[in-house]
Amino acid sequence: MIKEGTFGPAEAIVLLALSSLSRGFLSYPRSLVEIAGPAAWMTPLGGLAVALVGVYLISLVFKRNPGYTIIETTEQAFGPFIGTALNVLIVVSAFEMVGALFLREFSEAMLTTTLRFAPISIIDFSFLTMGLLGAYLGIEALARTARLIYLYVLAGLLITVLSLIPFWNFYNLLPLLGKGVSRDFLHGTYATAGIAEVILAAVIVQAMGGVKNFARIGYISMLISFGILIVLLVTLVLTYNWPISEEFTLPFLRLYRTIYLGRFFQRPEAVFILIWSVVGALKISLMLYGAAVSLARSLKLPEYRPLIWPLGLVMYIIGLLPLDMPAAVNLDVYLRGFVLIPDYLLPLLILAAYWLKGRGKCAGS
Amino acid sequence: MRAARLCALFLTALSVLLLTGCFGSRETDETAYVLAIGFDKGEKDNMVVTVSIANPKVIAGTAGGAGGTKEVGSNVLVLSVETYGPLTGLEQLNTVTSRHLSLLHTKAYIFSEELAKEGLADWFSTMSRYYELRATSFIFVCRGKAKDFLEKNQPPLELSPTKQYELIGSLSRAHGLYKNTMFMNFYQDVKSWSIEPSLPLVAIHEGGLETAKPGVKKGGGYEPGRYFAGEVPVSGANKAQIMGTAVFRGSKMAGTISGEETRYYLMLRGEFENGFFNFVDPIIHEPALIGFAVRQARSPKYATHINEDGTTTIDVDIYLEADLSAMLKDINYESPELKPVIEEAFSTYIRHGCQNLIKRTQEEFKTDVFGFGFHLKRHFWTVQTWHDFNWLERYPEAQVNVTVHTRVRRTGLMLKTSPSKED
Repeated sequence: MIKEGTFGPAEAIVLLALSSLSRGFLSYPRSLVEIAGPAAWMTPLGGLAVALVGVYLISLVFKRNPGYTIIETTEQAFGPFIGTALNVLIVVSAFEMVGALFLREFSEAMLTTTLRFAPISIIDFSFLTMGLLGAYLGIEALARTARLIYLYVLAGLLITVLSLIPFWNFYNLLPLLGKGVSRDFLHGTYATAGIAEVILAAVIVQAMGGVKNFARIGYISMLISFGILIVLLVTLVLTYNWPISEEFTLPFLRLYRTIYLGRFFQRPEAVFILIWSVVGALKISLMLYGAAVSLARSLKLPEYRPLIWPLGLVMYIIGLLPLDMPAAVNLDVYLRGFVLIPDYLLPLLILAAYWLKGRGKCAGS
Repeated sequence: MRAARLCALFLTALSVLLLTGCFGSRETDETAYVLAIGFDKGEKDNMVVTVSIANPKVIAGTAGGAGGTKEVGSNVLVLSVETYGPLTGLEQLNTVTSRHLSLLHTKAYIFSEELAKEGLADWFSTMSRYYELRATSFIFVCRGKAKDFLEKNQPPLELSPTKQYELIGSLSRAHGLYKNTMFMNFYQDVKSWSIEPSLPLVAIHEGGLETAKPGVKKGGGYEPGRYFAGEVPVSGANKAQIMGTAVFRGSKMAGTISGEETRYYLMLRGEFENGFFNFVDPIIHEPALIGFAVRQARSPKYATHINEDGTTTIDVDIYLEADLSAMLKDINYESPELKPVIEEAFSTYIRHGCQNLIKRTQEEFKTDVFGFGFHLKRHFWTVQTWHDFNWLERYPEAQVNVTVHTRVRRTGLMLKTSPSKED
């Protein structure tokens, strides 16, 4: 039995929300502006609805199988062979891939902005070291860290948004439907619904206080993270019109560099890089932890910690595979589609398997 | 466990020796900060890049001579190079400086009129990509050569030229004779389908009072802003002037408007803050003037209509508040009966100014620098339909009606004007 530690719903909500929010610090908002133009802020609405449905589906899965995580439930639904294969190929891979690309994009962002002459392997390794340490200390330590830092992160975001008000042009939000309803809501939903935190919540469900808290934690954390993403997108488009916003490599860094409240308050991006690094380290730790715990549960190992090192190495190597930054960003687009499988398809398959088994039992009786 | 702790302590202590600095670190005393950068058209190569570098010895006051004299020489060092582009220019300039040139503190980018007429989009795209550029830097168009401007600009009141450029920004709010423009504003406007960009004009004023134009009593004009940068008849220490606006069509400069027209331009955009205006006394009709200190009371109201034939009508209501500041004749304009007379006269005067400027932008420049497109955009649901409407091409045919509402709120330290004995 893996000892994960426990934490309360508040810590769980903050942990999942911060982890999900971290994508807003990379080039992700740019891709949403590219999809919907001035209506970029609408794209997370569909993703939010799908994420809430995903949390609901997983909560239905857990109702039939309380006391377990999604890993054991998958095995029970599909049998040890197919279940383990699904867990390793879908869940563990999703955490590994998300973590690896995040590691790479974060390192590239650091190289682009501050540490321009450092080798990427060194930056990658530094972030990975933080991730390894976080994953080693465990989910309880990560959750309590998230609880400690969330006020600083939110305050930093709030100050950014308020400081940019002098630069806002409300006409930048027009035309209201942006590049069209299908792009805003269909493309937008596809681009925003694939977040690793939905499946992560299903993996750490027992540490969050069990199945009874799952749905509430999931709903609130999704509402917070998508809500903040919407606020960031509105701020971005209000400050820079959409043809410019979709050019930015790191839109949020641009926003920070734009802050200019007179001669005495400008250049606050040093604060941003601090927040950025903390949230990035948290995300990488969580992905590594999710991968290690999922693999340990799949292989029925009593301890996940020995798996952190090899999985960390795999994450490091995958992160270095994309040839350049644009390649890493493009891979991220494909990865979003892949994450939809563990988030939404897997619970649906589990429910379908339970339903078929129930029908079989009824037919047998 | 004890051994592990000792090992961790040893590694931590070792890291102090190893982590002495990051890759590519550069100390401030290894860096030369470019405060302003100018671009002119080159004779043999593509362009002439001129940089104005902060001279730390003078700014820090350590170049003092005997007797405690602190300021010796110029507080900036100006260097020029003929080159292909801005970044290659910086590399080449680095061959004559002992320190690495950095744009991290560059406050002003100055383009010559000649270069601006050829188009600035390529250079802005390059600069926007460069990690050292800040989108809050100020951009100017120089009448004449940017190189001359940077060489001759010696702000007598400021130790640091950076402060000069930052103060220029706030000063435009005091008179509205130029529009302060940041890099981010210009770059956005270049790529927008709703507005065309504009930049403030700077120039070196060669000469003194002799450049004055005839005044109202000599058959000339009476507007304080009827000049362009480089023409204002000021005699004194600094030769650098800022007045008027360069208007663009796309990224190419299409023409210039004077300081006075810039005020109307700002009013039509709702960005005019303060300024002193003269206008002809409505009762006397002689070259006798009334002076108003004017501010924009609130943002203009825009009503836009797209007619059935595809033409557009735009109604703009401008709201101004004024303080009666100067009057050459003893007429009691403070009285409730006469106050509406000067309010109406001033409204008519401003309306004519705005309409004439709009006409110029439609017929001469063919460019919507006012951003009427922003208000028209609300008639469209999607980006594609707005793009297909092609507003910037339709602007010259648009019908724009301006109404000005003026209220004299205060009359200074006098509430009544009594007639003089001669009257």
